[in-house]
Amino acid sequence: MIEARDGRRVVITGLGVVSPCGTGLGDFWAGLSTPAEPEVSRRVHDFDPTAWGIKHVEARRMDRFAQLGLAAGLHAVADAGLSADEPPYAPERCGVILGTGIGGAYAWESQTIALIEKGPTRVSPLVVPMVMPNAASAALSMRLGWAGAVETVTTACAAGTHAVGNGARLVAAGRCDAVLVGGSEACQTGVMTNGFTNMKALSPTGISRPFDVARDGFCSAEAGGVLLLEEAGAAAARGARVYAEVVGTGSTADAHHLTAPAPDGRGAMSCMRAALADAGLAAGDITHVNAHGTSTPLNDAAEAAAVRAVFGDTRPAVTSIKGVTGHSLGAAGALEAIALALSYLHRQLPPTMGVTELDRDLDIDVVLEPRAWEPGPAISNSFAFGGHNGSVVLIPA
Amino acid sequence: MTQPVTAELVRADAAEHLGIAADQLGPSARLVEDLGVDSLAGIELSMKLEEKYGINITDDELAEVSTFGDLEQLVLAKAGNR
Repeated sequence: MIEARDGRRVVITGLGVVSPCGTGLGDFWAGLSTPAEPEVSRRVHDFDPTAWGIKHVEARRMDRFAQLGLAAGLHAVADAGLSADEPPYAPERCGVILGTGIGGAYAWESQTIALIEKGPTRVSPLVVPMVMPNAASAALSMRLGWAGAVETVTTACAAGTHAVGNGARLVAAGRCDAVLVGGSEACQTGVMTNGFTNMKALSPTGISRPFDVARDGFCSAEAGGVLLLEEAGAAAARGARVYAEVVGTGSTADAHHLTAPAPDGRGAMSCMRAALADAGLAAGDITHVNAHGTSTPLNDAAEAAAVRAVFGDTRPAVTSIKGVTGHSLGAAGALEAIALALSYLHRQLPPTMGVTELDRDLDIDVVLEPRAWEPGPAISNSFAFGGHNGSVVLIPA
Repeated sequence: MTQPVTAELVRADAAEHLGIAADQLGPSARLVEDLGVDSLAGIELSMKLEEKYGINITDDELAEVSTFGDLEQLVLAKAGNR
C-alpha cells in the first residue's frame, strides 16, 4: 500500500456478521451456499439486540442500522479473541470506520409521521442522533472505549468497501494499530423500499440472480458486517489468528450518471487497476474476484466488461454472494470482504446462488457451485449510486 | 383516560421506559446523578409521560425537576388538573 510506513502490514484478525443468510460466521458461511427464498426485501428476522448485550433502553436510542453495526462490531472483537472491556492498544490508536448508505431511516420516517400527526412537540429529542449516519461508528467507539479515528463513510453501495480501504490505510500509515471496518444498513422502510421500487432497481420476482440472463434487479437487504484490521507485527505479538492480509485499495468514480454505471465499465476498471497497483500486483496474479454482482442488468454487464478488460485471459473465478445475501447497500462491501476472508479460511469459493441460466455473453468464469480454491491474491469490488467505485485486494496470510 | 393516574402508575411507566426496577425510583432518587438519566433521556421520558397521560410539561417546568419525586409530583399535578 502506498501509505505503508516502516514495513507496516495490515491483517484481518476478526470477523462479525449479522445478515439475512446467517448470523455468526458458521451460519453465514453455510448460508452462502444455501438457496434463498424469493424475497425482494431481505431482513434479519431473528435479530435480537439484547442477545448482543445491547440493553433495551440503549437499543431504543439506536436506529436499526446502528444496532446491526454495533452487534457485528462486538462479534468481530470477540472473534479476534479480544475483550470488549479494554482496547487492545492505546485507545487513541484504535479506530472505527464504518459505512452506511442511508443511516437511520426508521427514525426519520417515524418522526416525520409524528410531526404530521401529533405536532412539533411530539418529535423525539433523539431523532437527530438516531438518524445521523455516523451513529453506528459512534456506538461502537463508545461501547469499546476505542478513541482513535472514528468516522463514517457514506458512499452508498460502495461504503462498506471504502471503509475497509480507509481503515487499512490508517493502519498502514501508522495512524492506528487496530481499526474496526465494515458497514451496516437497515432501511427496509416504506419510503426507501418504494423509492427503490419506483426507480425499477428492485427485482420484481424477488430473486437475486447475479450474471443470469434473466437478472431483473436487486433484492434490498439489511445487514451488519465488521472486520478487525490490525498491524501485522502487533497482531503476531499477541498471537492473533490471521484470516488474510489487505495489500491494496482502490477508489475511483465514473463521473457519468447518478444511478447507472458507465456502460463500458471504465470506472470499475480504473478502480481495480488502482487497487492492483497499490498492491504491487499484476492483473494476472489475481485468482478470484468477489464481485459487486447486484443482479441488475446494467451493473453485471458493466462489471463483467471491466473484469474481462482488466484480467483478460487470466479469467479469475468470479463470485457474487448477493444471490443469497441480497444487496445490503452500505454493508454489502463488508459482507463480501468477510466472505472473502472466510474463503481463505475454508480454501473454498462460495457459489453465485440464484442463477438458473448464466448469461454467456458476459464471458466471465462465474462460480456456480462451491469450488475448492488454492488461496491466492483476490479482489473484492463495490460500485455505487453516484458512480463511486471501491476495490480491496487481499492475499493469503 | 379511564384509569386514574397514580404515583404507582407513573413509577411503573417510568421504570419500564428507563429499563430499571420500579423500586429504584424513590422520591429522592436524583435523575442525573443516581439514575443516569441525562438531559436527552429526561426530555424523552417527559415526552413519554406527556403522551401517555395527555398532559403538557413546559421546558421551564422540566428544568426545575431534579429528583424522580419532582417529576412524579409534576405529572400527578398536571394529570389531576386536566
